[in-house]
Order: sequence, then structure tokens, then C-alpha cells
Amino acid sequence: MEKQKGLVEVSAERAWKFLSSVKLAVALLIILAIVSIVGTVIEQNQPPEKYLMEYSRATVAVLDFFGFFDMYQTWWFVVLLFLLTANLTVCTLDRFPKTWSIIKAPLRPIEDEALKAVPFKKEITVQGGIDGAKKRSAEVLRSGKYRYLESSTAESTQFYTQKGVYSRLGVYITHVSVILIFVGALIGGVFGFKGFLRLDEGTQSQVVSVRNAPKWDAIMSAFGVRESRVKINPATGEKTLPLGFFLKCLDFEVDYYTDPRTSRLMGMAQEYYSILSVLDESGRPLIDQLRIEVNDPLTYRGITFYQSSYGVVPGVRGAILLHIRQKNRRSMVETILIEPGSDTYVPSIDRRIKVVGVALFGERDPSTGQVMYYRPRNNEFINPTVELEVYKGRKGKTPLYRTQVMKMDIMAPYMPEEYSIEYLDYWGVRYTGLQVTKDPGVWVVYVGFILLCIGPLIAFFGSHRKLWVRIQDKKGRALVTVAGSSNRNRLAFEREFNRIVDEISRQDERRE
Amino acid sequence: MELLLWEVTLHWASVVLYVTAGVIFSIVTVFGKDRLYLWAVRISFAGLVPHSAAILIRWIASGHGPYMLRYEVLSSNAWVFIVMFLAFAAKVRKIRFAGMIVLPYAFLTMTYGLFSNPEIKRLPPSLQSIWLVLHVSFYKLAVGAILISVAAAIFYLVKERRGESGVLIRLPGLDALDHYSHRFATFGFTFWSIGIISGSIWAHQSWGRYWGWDPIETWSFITWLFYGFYLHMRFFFRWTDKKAAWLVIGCFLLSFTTAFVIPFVARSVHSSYFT
Repeated sequence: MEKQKGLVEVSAERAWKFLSSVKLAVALLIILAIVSIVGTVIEQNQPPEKYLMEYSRATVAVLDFFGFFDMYQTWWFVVLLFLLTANLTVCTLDRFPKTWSIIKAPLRPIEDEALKAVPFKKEITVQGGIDGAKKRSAEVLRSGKYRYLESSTAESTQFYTQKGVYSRLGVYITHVSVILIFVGALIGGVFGFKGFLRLDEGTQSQVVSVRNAPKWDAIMSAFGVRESRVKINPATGEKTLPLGFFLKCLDFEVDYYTDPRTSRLMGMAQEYYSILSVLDESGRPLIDQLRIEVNDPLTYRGITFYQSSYGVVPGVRGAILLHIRQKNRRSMVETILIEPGSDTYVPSIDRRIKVVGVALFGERDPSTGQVMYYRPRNNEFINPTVELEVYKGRKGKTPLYRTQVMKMDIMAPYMPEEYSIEYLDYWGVRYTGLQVTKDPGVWVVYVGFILLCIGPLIAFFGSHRKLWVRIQDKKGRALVTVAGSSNRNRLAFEREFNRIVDEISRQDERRE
Repeated sequence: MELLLWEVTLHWASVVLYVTAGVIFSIVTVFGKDRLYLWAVRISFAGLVPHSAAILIRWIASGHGPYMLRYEVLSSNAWVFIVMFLAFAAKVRKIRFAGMIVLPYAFLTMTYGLFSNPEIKRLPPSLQSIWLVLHVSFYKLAVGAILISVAAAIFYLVKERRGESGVLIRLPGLDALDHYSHRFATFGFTFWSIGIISGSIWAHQSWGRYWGWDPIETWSFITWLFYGFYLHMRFFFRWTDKKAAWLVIGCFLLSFTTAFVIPFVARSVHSSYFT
């Protein structure tokens, strides 16, 4: 008696059948595409007022209920992605053994029955007998880089060969790549986080504010395994996560484009960068003064800091850094620091230097040498320019001279004495905005990326081609039957097949 | 200013040559005047000379490749499409019919670009990456292949409707048209995938995320899904004939929407290349 199948077995079988169906796959592709379109039509993650301006109150309520304002993170969208991945996985497991057995199956000489069904077939009679035909066929196959096998029976000899068996793996490589990308994204979502860190020049932080708190942390704390590491500021609702080390911003700088024709500065940033140090609890540097810029981040203990934005810290005076250089000994350089509006005595030259004013964008008129000031957009430090007054000794009342120094100058500034003053930095007034992420799944995703480049190339541009050449004796002449098949790109194979047939018969003519 | 004048003049010279070549390609395809084919190819090559010069001048003057603003993008796209078509047509003679679609598409979009702002735009820091070059190049190759694919699909539908009547008699058979349409769609799909991937790697390097559901990013993904749909329908459900041709045309329209419509209607990190 046949054993009755249990409920579990039956449902497992059904689930497997459901998930291994290609119909499900194509349905999911279409559904994902359509809901993704919806997600671009409704602008995502906007403030509620904006939605109320565009849609009626009732529509907003319905859309909000289904999560259409943050659609790509909703449970149902993630479920769709999960389903597609499960579908791909099951399809792969379901079909792969069969493909593998085709790959591993040894090629055999073709039989009469199979010869009838083979898609490409041609019979030619060749003069010069069996041996001549054998030699010629072997030559043609060798010159086409075919590695063939030979088998003989009483009435016939066969050469048979195949190429590109492993191209059958291309489709699996492609599908596995998609699975890996999804799994990698999942690992990143569960164990990683995304955050932001604003560091003013000269300050440090050991916490980062996070948007997506690590799910793993939430799960562990929910089950009471360990306390959550995420701290919520009750006043602002800001979530922070400890880094486990200190990150310090030593300096932040922006370089601006110059117009190649006029060599004048343009207000557009060419590059911006931060000098960062990683410090341990006692302030000892673990990474000392590393420069990061856009597209070139810093990674420490799996946490990566990306240069993403910058700005001016409100209500801060900062400091002007200047170089004092002796004119007769150019290597003698001294760095001094002055707050805007105040002055500093420099003993080596016995002068008091006062910073009268600072402008963010100063430019010298090339003909008159006059300095002009502009107001840059967004407080960009396009060409910081400092107005200086120099006094004699500690107590001098009237300035000896006035001058301006700037970051980029087209001529030498007015320096009447035996030293020159150079602009170095306007420091402590800007902050660097860092995108902070931890994503332990990214390497899985990258492996997926590599496979997604390779997979389609193999699947579409390779093909599994088989070729048989059978030689029989027909009253002293050789009857040559060429047969072949290809699982893909038939037209290209047809050309190749015809060329082989041609060559076998053409060589024959040349000989005689 | 003088340089820009040169550049625009060279561009217009190439447009004139492409229009001529496009007309001859059409005559060859519609009336089967095979003798003229070589002239169409020669004139296309002649058009590539001033076109390449114009692109090169701009490249040197701007200090970056042609991937900012409609003017540069559409011009370099046209260049890639024409070079790709000529290269494939040299190897596979049967696809010469695609010239009737590829050339007009190239010179029409290019002309549209020529009427837009030709001012040189500097690259912001985030765009200074080798991945930008790969990202842009692969999408251009993808669309080049997609164009040939859609040309085959269009001619499939025309031939299917008109049968073997008078004109268009020199087109390859329906099977061959179907084959080329599929073949070039697979090229397009492969390049499109690599385009998405290189963009992802770049975004990860720049912002620490490889996917952000940016509108153009999402539309690129939608196009990719539809190509996936097409490939599966073809392989498993034998959608090879008219249905496949319509799907290929649909996929082309999606790719067109992704690249050239969404930048106008949605706010996107990609906008700078086109608006």
C-alpha cells in the first residue's frame, strides 16, 4: 500500500512547485517593474505638507496606509523581492542537476535514429576512398580548433566533437548573481547601518547619528540578549550609535575651478577634502591625518566615512593662520594664528599683526592691483582674503602699513619690510559632512556584480555545439555525413557548419 | 568662442552627411538598390570625421569626456550608435537594413542636442571617477545595440504585415529578423547590466550606498526587469514572433524613457547630464 502523504509533505511539495514555476518568475518581474514605476511617479520621502498639496486628503491617507511614500522599504515590497529571490533559488536548484548531467554526459557517436532528428545535416560523396576522406575530415576539424574523438565500426568511422559545453552554466551564473546581490543587501540591512556625522574643524566625535539603526541590534535588544547600543536623544529624537573610537577633523578644504582662459576663479568646487584622524580613548592616534575626498573614503573597523558635504558653522569666529617668511632666508618660516578682529605680537620681526577683516572671495584687478570683494553664494570660501595692519613693536599706535593677503593671488602683495606674510588658512569655521556606513554585506554584493557581468556574456555569447562526421564506404567512394546541433545562436552555427562541409568537399577537389 | 564656432560647424557638417547617408540607407532597404549601399557607408564614415573632430575639440576644451549636458551627451551617443552600426554591418551584412533606423535616430537626437545650450560645464567632484566613464560608456553601447534590435523588430512587423510584396523585398527573412532582434537585445541587456553595476559601484564609492532608488536608477532597473521578462517569455513560452517584436519595441521605449524623459520630470542625482 502506498504511504499516505502527510500535510507537511504535501504543502512542502506544493510550495516547491509554486516557487519553481517560471510563470511566477515572469509575473514577479512584471509586478516589480510596475510597482517600481508607481514609486517614481509618487515622489518618495517628502514632508506630509507636500503630499497634501498634490493629492486630496483621502488619497494621501490611502497612499500612506500602503506605504507608497516610502514604498521601497515597505514590508510588501521587500516580500516581493524575497519571493523573487526564493523563486530564483528554487528554479536554480530544480533545474541545475539536469543541466549538470548534460554537461557531464560523455559525447557518443551518433546513431541512425538520432541522425534523423539532428537540426543540421549534409551528405557529400568524396572521391579518393575512405582513408582520404578520414584524413581530410580530421584536418578540417583540427584547423577549426575542434578536439575530436574517433570511433570505428565495421561499416563506418565517426569523428565527433563538441564545443562550449560550459556555456550552459551562463544562465545559472546570472541567476546566482542576482541571488547574491539580494543576500548581500539583506546582510547589509540586518548587520549594517547608515548614518551621518558633522565634524567642525578641530572637533572630534565618538558617536554617529543614524538613520537606519542596525536591525540586528534591535532584534537582540528586543529579546533581551543585550542592551541596545543605539541612544535616542529625548529632545530631538535623534538616534546615535557609538563608533568605538574617536574621529577627529583636523582640517577641511575646498579647491575651486579656475577658468582656463582668464585664469579667474569660478564659484564651482573642483574638489573638497577633509584631513581626519582616528583616535583611541586616550587620544592616541590609530590613523594619523588621512586625507579623504569625494570618491575616496576612509574605512576603519568596517565603518566607512565618505566625504559628502560641507558648510559654515554658525556663530564661530575661527582663526586666521599666516606664514611669516624672511625675505633673505626663504626657508625661515613661522606660523602664527590670529582671531579675526584681534592682533598678535610676533617677536622674531618685532611687529604686531592685526587682522582687520576677512572676506570669502577677494580678487585682484590684474591691471591696477586693487582688491575687489564679492559675496559668494552659500558662503563658499572661494578665495579667502585677509586685511592686515602691521604695527611696530608691542605698543605701536599707528600702523606702519596696511596690506591684503589671499589664498590665490595673481601678484605679490604689498610687503615693504624684510619679511613677507602669506595666507595659510581660515580655520575652525567650517564643518565637514560625512556619510557613515557599515555594510558587511557589500562584498557579497560585489561578487554578485562580477558574476552578473560574466553570466550573461557566457549565456548569450557562448553556445553548446556538437558536431559529427561519419564516413562510410560507398562502392569505393567515401560517403561523408556531417551532422551538428547548437543550443543557441543557430544562425552563427549554420555558417560554421556550412563552412566545415564546404572545406571537406573543397579540399577534395583541390587534390584531384 | 572661436573654438565653439568650429565645433558647431563641424557638428552641422556631420549632420548633413548623416542625413544623406540615412536617405541612401533607406533607398537601399526599401527599393533594394544594393549598388548604393557602399556609398551610404562611405558617406557615414565621411560624417564621422568632422563629428569625431568636434567631440575631440570639446573633450580637450572641457577637460572631461562628453557626458555633461544634452549637447555633449546626444552628440557622443550618435557617434557611438553610428560606429556600432557600421562595425556590426561590416561583420554581418544582413543587418544593413538597420541603417534606415539608426542613422535617422542618431542625427535627429544629435540635432536636438545642437539646439540646446552648448556651454561648457565643469565636473563636480562626485563625477570625477573612472566609474563614471565605464557607467556612461556601457549605457551608450547598450542603447546602440538596442537600436539595432528595435530596427529588426520594426522591420519584422512591417514585413510580417506586407508579406513578400514589391518593396522591402531585400530584407532578410522573418526568422533572420527575429533572430537579429533577439541577438542584439541580448547584447543590449548585457551592456545595460554592466552599466547598472558600474553605476552602483561608483555610487557606493561616492556615497556609501550602491542602490538608492533614485528615479533614473529605478527606471533603469525597470527596463532591466522588462528585458528579463522578454528573455524568459522568449525562452520558456516561445514568444518569438510578433509578440517578441512588440516586446522589443516596448523595452526600447522604456530605455528611452529612462535616459531622456525621466530627467525632465523627476528630481534625480542624474539630472546634471541632461538638463
